[in-house]
Amino acid sequence: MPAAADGSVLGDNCQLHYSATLGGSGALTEVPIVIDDAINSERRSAESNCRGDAEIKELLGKPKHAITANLLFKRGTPGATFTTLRAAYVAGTVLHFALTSGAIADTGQHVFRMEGCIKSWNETRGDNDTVKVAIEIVPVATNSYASNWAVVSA
Amino acid sequence: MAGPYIGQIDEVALQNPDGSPVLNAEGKPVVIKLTVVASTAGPAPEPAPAGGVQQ
Repeated sequence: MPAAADGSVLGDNCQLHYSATLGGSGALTEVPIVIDDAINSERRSAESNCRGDAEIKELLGKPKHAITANLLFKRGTPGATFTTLRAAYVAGTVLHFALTSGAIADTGQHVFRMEGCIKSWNETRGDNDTVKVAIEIVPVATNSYASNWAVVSA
Repeated sequence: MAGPYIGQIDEVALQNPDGSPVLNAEGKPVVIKLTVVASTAGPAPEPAPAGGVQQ
């Protein structure tokens, strides 16, 4: 397998994979074209103002991750991945997702993985022959596999 | 949470949208090894001491 390029390069081929098998060992299927994919993460915080004007903010718990991405499909023949993901959105099915900033099989590639369901599905049909779908993936209460970063080794 | 814990290695196959495996140049299925480097599950829990808890 080729080695991943160091750092971030303009024009990197970001990839989003998914699997219907939960737990981290299911075979991953690539979503054909993904743009503007992002990992969003936030902790809960508690604020208190018990010492005059000194505000104290305490970070609590573990980070809650979410993925946002825009998927591009061909109008008229969007393909099997479009059908599978749309059905998962409608049914609220939990899937396993893997997000990379380059080819997932490259040695040294960093992979963000989380399990969750597709919270929102915003489908737009712009010009040309493209269907653009903006999705948000969020964790669910029944998750048994923690969100994580992993590195591909040979 | 049942993991993955930091240091855990998952072996994962890649597949095409039709369910067929992704093949490498030699015609063999591509399987990648993923080593967990950061996880909200944290490190693996310490194994319980043999013989139970001492009073």
